[in-house]
Amino acid sequence: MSQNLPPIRLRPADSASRRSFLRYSGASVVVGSLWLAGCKKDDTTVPAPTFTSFSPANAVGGTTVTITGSGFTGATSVTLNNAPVSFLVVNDTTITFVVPGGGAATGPITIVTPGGSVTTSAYNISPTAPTITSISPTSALPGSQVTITGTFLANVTTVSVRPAGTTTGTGTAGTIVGTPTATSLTFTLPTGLAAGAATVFVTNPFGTNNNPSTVVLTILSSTVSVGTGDAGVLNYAYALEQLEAAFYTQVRAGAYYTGIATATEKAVLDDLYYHEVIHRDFLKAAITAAGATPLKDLTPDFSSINFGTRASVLGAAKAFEDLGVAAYNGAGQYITTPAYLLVAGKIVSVEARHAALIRDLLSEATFVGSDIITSDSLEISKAPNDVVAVANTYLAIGSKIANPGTF
Amino acid sequence: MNFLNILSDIEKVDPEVYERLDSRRRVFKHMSGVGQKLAAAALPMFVGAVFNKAYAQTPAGVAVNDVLNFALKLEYLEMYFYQQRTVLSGLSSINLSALATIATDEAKHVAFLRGVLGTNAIADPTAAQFDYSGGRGTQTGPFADWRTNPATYLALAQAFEDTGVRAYKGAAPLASVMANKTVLTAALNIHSVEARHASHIREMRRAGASSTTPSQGAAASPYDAKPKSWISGTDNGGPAATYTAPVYGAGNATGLATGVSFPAEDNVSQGGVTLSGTTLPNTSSFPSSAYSEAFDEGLDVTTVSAIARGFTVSTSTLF
Repeated sequence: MSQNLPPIRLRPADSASRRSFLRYSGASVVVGSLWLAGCKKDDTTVPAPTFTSFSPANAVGGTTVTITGSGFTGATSVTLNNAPVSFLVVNDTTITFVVPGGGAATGPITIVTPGGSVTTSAYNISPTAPTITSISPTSALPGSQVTITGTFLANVTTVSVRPAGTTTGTGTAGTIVGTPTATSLTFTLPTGLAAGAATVFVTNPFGTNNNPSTVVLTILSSTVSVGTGDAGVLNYAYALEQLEAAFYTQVRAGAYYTGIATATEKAVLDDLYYHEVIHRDFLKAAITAAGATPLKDLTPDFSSINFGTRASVLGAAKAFEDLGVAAYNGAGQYITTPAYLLVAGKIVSVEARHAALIRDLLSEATFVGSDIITSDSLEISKAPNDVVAVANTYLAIGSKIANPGTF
Repeated sequence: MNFLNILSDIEKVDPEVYERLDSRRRVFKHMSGVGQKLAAAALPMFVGAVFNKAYAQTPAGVAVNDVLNFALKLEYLEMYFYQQRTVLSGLSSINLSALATIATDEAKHVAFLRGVLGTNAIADPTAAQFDYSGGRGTQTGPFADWRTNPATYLALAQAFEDTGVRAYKGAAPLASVMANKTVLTAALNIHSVEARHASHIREMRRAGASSTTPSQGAAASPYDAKPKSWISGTDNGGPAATYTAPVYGAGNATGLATGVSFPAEDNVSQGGVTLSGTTLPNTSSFPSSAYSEAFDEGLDVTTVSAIARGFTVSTSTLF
């Protein structure tokens, strides 16, 4: 449909327009040569292009625009506001092009042909902000990847997430992964986002999505709470036993255990694996029996441990066992039920036996190192928050333990 | 506000309130709960001061001091034992160094407990009150060669360390200890050091006294002579079953809190859960010994005292 025709300005196929073309052809020697060849062949018979109308009169990114005029055959360049666009010469009187998503701006259209060029008045591009239709997955952990489906996403420069509880601004920027298309953009969520219903913003040169509230991304908590009271202490222990059990499970599949360890070392690691799995599953059963809810299954992150070397495996085992002892010792004071305190005591001394042997395997007769006792030869307890700070370095986002405080 | 009425009201939650106000008897276990109720009562300042004095003066509590002194006695038993390691022969230097480490730890535990108890500490029993041969003063008991024979010495060391671990564990759930978080934490911090000692002594036993790599010793069933670092079942009665079986046997938890009991070390029932491949399905392929190994057991003061008494002279009233 053609309407509101702009003023038409024709340019004769004179030497000035040829110079003008040369400016455009600078990027393409081949095209320039073709034109020169055409000049030699029949310099005066190639008509200069003319412009009659375009349809529609206004466009947004992605719109196909039809230009009507004459002398379009052999057109070598179409620019919108001096930016080249992809175009198609339908016939001598019709050229179509697609307005680029996002980056296009209002400005004149210039068509260059072997016969010259024509520049129209400013073509009106409606600035087009991107939109979000859906997000997948709809619930995600901080630091994980999500994919946005929508429109005009190709030129998005910033994707950001405004966490629950914040009502202004566009939140914290994420990281775009790969190259977005017009309808799909994948990005990595920032870490440290508060849990809850978050709002996602995408911004291109024309603005930010205007429908942020219609699509909600639920940010999952990066930490889990062990809870309070005796059940909290038991779940705290359960979290640590989960970590230890997962560690020894992985140890037994690693190259150190399967190929390097001595028979004695393998027997020790087998026992430690049995004990920690029993501790873990016992605590889960005991928490359930106490009418409380066991912590979810935690996902470990042992990427910092090399399961192929003795030093790395035993070094990590030492860290876990010493941490376990310090954790139980530090949490005992928060237990109010005598029977639970006794059970904790039954486990902690076995952990201490483990720790002593692992330390000796690393370096003989270091079962009570000066790093783990006071000058009175009392083992150094660790406060729950200090314990989880260490444990969390071995737990994936979503499985990290929130500060238990004093339960 | 009628002072006597207040006392009457308080008596309902603390029957010993009159005793607190006018005698030196202090009952630690009532402190915390009653203290909070008093605070909520919003007594006039001067009345409150009277109560604060009455309830705050209890130092470590009678019962706590008894427990700490009991621990101190056991530490003396260990300290004098390790002090007399010097005439042993046939120990590797790494093993001698380990015994020196343990000796230092036990001496420091004695000093620490004496420091905590202050004037309430028992008198130093001195080495003369112990007979580590088990002869009650004859020095010719079943472990007569303990001073010179490393095998005998390490057997006793294991029994003492394992007993110590059980004793501290058994004391932790006592009401007086639980009510004093400083004492409880200190007890736990000694408890785990004793467990580390026990683990290492067991290494030395399974690798042999002259081994230079004790951690590489292989354990061998039934674990009395070559034990694991943890207690497997009852370790067949321990290093010398005739005498050491009580170290791994059952205790007596009469009169203690609900759920507190002191079964033998081969116990597999924890917190109301009988541990097995059935109750813990992920463990169905595990050896059955793992269920007892994964948990150490506690022991009561009476049972520990009976064990320790066997290594004092017959005239001793220490235990």
